[in-house]
Amino acid sequence: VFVHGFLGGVEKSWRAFPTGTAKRRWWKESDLLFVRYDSARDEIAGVAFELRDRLPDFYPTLRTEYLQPATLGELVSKREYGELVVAGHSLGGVIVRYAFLELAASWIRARRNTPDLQPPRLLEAQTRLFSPASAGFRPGGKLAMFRSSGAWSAIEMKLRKSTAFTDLDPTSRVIVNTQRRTESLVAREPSLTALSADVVWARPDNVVLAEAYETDNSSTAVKGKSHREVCKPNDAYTVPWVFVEGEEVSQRRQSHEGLARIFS
Amino acid sequence: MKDWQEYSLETFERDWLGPRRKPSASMGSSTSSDANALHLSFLLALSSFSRGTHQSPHSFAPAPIGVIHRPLQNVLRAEGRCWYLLGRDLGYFPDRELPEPPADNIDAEFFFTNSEKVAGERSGVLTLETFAMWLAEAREDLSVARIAFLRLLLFAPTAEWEHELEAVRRLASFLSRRPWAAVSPVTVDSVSWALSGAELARDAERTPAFWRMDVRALNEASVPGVVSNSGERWTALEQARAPIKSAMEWLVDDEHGAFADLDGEHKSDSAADVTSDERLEFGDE
Repeated sequence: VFVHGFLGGVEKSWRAFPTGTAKRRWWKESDLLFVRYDSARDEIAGVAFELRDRLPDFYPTLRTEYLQPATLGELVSKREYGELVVAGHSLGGVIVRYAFLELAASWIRARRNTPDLQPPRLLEAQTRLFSPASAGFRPGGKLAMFRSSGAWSAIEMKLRKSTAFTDLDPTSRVIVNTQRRTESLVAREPSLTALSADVVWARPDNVVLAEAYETDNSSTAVKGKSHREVCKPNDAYTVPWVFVEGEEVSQRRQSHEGLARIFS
Repeated sequence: MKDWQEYSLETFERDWLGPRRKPSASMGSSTSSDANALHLSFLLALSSFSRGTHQSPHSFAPAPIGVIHRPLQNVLRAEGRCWYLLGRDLGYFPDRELPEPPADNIDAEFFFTNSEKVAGERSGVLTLETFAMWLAEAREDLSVARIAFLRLLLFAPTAEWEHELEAVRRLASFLSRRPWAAVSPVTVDSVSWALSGAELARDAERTPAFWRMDVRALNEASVPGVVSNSGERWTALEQARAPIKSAMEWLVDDEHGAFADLDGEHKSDSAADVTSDERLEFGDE
């Protein structure tokens, strides 16, 4: 599941990912779900709640009415997925974290009345975030976003007083409370893997603060990639594919790719 | 003929020619970029906004082509035909005629000749994956604001164009003096065509959709109804909206008082004269 960021679009943000299906075994065995929302208008919490509520249509079993032709539906509906990986970029990272947090919180509330209630399967997910905005904009980050992304779309966001601008200040309630509640929940319920992310940062990232949660699984940076580029794989930059697959993004791999670029 | 080719065509017909088959609500369907692979690809469209109390004419979802202004619709149908022929040659679509006849008086060949890259790629370089991504991106580009921009710039009568441009100028003038002031959502919606709708990608691929990035392109084709001064209109729009950009950049910069902008290119004196406690609502008159 892919969730794009500020002013992103399904195609703009993730267009290179499906090409991995032609090259890499892991991707050939995967189904890809791309989430679209309007970052200029939608609220972080609103999109997160929708994501939380709609993902069960896809995982662990796909609803057949979303499949055409019918024969394909019959074939696929008999399977249950083996794993769920949710990837988010920038603002999408905040939405993913918020969605899983609220899902976990709902389950804990429900468990008060039903002590044997098992956690939702979605909380088995593995969360992989590319430069998430979960610590908010860095000083000057909004301006950098103005200049690095589609300028007029960003200006329209600003005019609309979009939540991407108001909720992503480092001291906003959304930013502070999502981190505090997530870290607290992981301490109490460490089996909920979706709450602990693996994170890859752009380096340098001039848009967001590169601060992971204390409870995240891993945090690393990719040298020479901007905030916008960090999630866009190609033949010379395979880190995004490898990262989503779940392999460690080591400095060795980055160095190897850097050398490959030089010699090519 | 393969199932996925049929499905690609069905999706294409629905997206480009109108929702003639039952749409799958906002739950998207396969993008088919994975056409020859064993996996599936879905699009899930979420909007907390659409369920809220504020109704906007500018949906984030691409607008149905079947409901837009007729002359522009014809151009988009011709562009769609170009996509279809290209996709059919590649094996992305099944080998049969589109049910939709060619658009009135528009030669689809224009869209081939106007897209050098496609001409090059037709010789065998273009892959199914790349084609599918270009096609989806071209469709995603057609937001309601973008369609409004294309219609106003390329087809609107002078009086309508001037009227809409004047609204942009008024907002620009207001924000130059009061960059902190709140602007009503209705006002932003009314000029959205000139903001996000008029975002031209500098590094756009030369696909059949390239004419949307080149405001003079249609003047070279014999497309009925296209104004002859689209270039001048574009220049006028750039001038009209420039103060909005200056004001917003100034404001964003100013929110981070300690962040010095060494470029010094956008702090206008007029914006600096306004006190930060000024809160005016523009557009609700």
